[in-house]
Amino acid sequence: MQRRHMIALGALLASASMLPALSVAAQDYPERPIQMIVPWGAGGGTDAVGRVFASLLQEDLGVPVNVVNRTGGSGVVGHSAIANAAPDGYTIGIMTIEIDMMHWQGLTDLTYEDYDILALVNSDPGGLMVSADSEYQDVESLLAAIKSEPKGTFKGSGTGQGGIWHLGLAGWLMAEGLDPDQVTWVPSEGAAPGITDMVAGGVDLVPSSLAEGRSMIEAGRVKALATMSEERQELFPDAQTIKEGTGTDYTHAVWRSIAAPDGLPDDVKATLEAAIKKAYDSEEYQSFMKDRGFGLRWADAEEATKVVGDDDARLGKVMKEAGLAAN
Amino acid sequence: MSVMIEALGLVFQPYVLIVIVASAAFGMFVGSIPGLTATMATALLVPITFFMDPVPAIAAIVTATGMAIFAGDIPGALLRMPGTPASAAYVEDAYAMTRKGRSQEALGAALVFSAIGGIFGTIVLMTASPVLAEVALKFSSFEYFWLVVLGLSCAIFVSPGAVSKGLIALLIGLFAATVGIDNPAGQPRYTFGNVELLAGVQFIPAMIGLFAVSEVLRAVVNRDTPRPPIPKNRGGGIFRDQWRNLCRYPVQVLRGSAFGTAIGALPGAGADIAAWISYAISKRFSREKEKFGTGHVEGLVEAGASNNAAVSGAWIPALVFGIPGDSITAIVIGVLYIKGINPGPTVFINDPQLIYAVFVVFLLANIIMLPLGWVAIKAAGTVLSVPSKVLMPIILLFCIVGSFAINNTPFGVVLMLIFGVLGFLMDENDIPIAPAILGLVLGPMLEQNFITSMIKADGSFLAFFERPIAAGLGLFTIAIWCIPLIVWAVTRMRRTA
Amino acid sequence: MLLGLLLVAAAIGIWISAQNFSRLPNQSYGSETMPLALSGVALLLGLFMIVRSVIAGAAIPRATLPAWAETPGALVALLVTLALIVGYIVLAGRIGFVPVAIALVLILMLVMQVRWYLALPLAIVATIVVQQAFARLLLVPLPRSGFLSFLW
Repeated sequence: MQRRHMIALGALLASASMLPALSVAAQDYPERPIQMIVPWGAGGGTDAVGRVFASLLQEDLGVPVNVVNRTGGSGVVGHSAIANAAPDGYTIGIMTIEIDMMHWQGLTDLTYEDYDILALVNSDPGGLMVSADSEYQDVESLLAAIKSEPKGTFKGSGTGQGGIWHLGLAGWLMAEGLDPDQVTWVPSEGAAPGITDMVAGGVDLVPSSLAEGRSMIEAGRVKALATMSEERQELFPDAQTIKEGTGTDYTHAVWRSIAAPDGLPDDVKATLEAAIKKAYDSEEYQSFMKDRGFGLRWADAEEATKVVGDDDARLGKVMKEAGLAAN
Repeated sequence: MSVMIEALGLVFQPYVLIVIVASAAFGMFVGSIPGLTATMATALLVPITFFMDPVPAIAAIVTATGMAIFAGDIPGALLRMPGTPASAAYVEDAYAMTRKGRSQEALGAALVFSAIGGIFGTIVLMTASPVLAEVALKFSSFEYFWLVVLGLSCAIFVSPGAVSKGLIALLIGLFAATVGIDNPAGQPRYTFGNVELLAGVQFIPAMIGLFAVSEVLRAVVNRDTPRPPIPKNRGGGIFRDQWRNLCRYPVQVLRGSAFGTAIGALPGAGADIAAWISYAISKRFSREKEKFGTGHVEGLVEAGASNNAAVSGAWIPALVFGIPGDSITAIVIGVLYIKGINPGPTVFINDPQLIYAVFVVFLLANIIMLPLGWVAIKAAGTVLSVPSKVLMPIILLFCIVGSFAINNTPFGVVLMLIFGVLGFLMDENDIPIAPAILGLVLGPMLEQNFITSMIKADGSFLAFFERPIAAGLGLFTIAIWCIPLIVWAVTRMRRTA
Repeated sequence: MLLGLLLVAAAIGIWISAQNFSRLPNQSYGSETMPLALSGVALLLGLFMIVRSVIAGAAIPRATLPAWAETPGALVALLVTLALIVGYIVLAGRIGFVPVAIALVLILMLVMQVRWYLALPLAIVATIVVQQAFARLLLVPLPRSGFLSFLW
């Protein structure tokens, strides 16, 4: 009982500490350090994007931009921290596609409408990878085998249950006229452990972005069969698009955006949007993303909000049909 | 050969050397504060390394983490508050030595054998990376499941006191690990609708609570009858006894280093499991088993070498295949990508001088650890002369800030308080604390690997023995549990006969 | 004996709570598997401990008080310490780190019977050292306050 009180107390405090302490005159923005919340761990892709932006924004705005990793809870914790912060421009964050999934799963009431989306800065298509010694060396034969073998013969991995790559796979299977659970999903803590497990012989395929398997593809241990994009990727020229491989028009991509809590003052918003656009166009950002194999995509605030909204509807549909949404 | 000279040229530059010394001092500072970990030191260095060339950037991280892992032993030995879960394995021995006035010898052993383990691991990294990485790739969830069970079993059997109490502690840790949403089914458990609890019980605030806060509470209730003062340090300097320890325990040092490197090389197992397994092996094969836990240096030597060797070993899969071996290498791989270096086999072909430079930095970091560690031990030793009534309030302040800093949320302090009270109650009932920490750290891995294995095997338990490595590990684990029972039964039968 | 009973109670509690967790779709295990396994082990261990102590003859569970509980004021000191931590959690976000931390260290030192003329400077110095080390060097966003804001 005491324990539960403590927890309730903690929740209360967490929200109390985030109340705006002082409202700053907007003309002077920014006049103190800005906090950039990253809902995923240090060293990961989202963290890298956040840190590159933080250093570029810091240069442009002239105040320190500190990256704070708020991890755990499948992204719910970090996304909540962004949404619950004071909308004064001193807390911004990287918002990832999980914002369009977690409310369907019933984990939170937060949706993309609780944020002021400032820009979309990256997009990575899903892929399809198998172990190099797999007997299926193209999408077509893999799909044929998935179709002919009994349900559950094939196993895939690369995110947790109901994670973004799980949805990408389920969506593809549905587009091919199969049940979403024709391939059994083995939950993992991310793409890297999933790929390792695939090479060790634990699972048959990983539908994550090809960039996440790059080192193993170059090591000759993993074969990139397909990319879930409209066109082939420059870095992986051998991977067919799904349409080339099976004739089905299917794409699936994740994105990263920069967002602030809803209700940002207009002038603060304008300052931030201009700074983000400048950072996106910088040589540092462009070359960093290309080197790392991440996809570049720009959408300004208005367009980004539309993209995020469309994905929200699309993912909600897939999750309901795949039985992954809460009732 | 010219590649090696090129590599040396990359490292032996004033700027790089200054970076190494500065990050070594930084690592010492972070590691010696209870609650601040090697992973946190790395995360803090990431933004700074943004503005550096690849070699100094990697040098900064390698040096700082090596130092931080060793420095975690300092509060463990002096105050019974281990800085990392890896040092929790031998904290009882180290603290008991301090109470006998042998703190310098204990910390000297931790320092010297950390350096030896680290250098051993680096040599393996330089010579046998590709081979070991191949073996590591053979590990799937079945093998990891058994490895985790093995690590947990070791924690129960080496804990001082009754096996049943060790098991209780382990169950507490494992249960705390079930909180949150990060489980295979992605379903929130025991969160009571709290957003912060979705992330589960963060083990750093929990560890600070269990070890440090409970110690503060104990000092508070015993304020009228403080423990007898720690006797003046007797014996020689920090390094004097270590030559004797090395001559006395050569097998232990080698075994600890080898096991540490091998376990570290497995992506998904790290310094924590390595330290516990090595400590258990040391006890099992020791000629003086009964002395373990009472201030005996043998286990400290073996497990101390093991956990630093594991830190080097974690780089094997990271460099060969770009697979992170632990949370530190996960961050480093990100940094390498930012620097335009893609870990994987191509890096050995495209930038060999860079890889050799990394090896040189590893050796340098482990050597520089000795003089800097000496300074740190000397400086930290003064803590012992501060009376506990002054020290404890200040430690509590560090505990609070450390718990807050891990995720920058006041909720960390709430967790710290809850686990502080829990640790106090456990200690009052002679339940050991260390197995609870290991349960908390390894609980998610245990569940993840069990569930995914069952899904892959379509529910067949036999699959846990179908793969050769899994079968070996499984049988070994079962034997560990059965042998004491058989021995007990046999002696009982003899007695009745 | 008492511990054994507690364990059995905990095992039953976990077992009941685990009934609410659902399985993975199309799988026979999921988030309830681990709590169920834990409750099973706890139940066995609890029963074993009860049986063992019954055989040994300890029939009545008895709670013994530790030695410190008989010292006057020890319990009060313990409660004050816990209250201080709760106080920090409640107040730091509103008033700021520096004043709350000074008060915490000062009061706890007084509880530990350090003289006030020693405790006050120590509390102030310790707080400022910690604040500088964490907020400046390690960039930890400790709660700021208008009071003494030049430290940041």
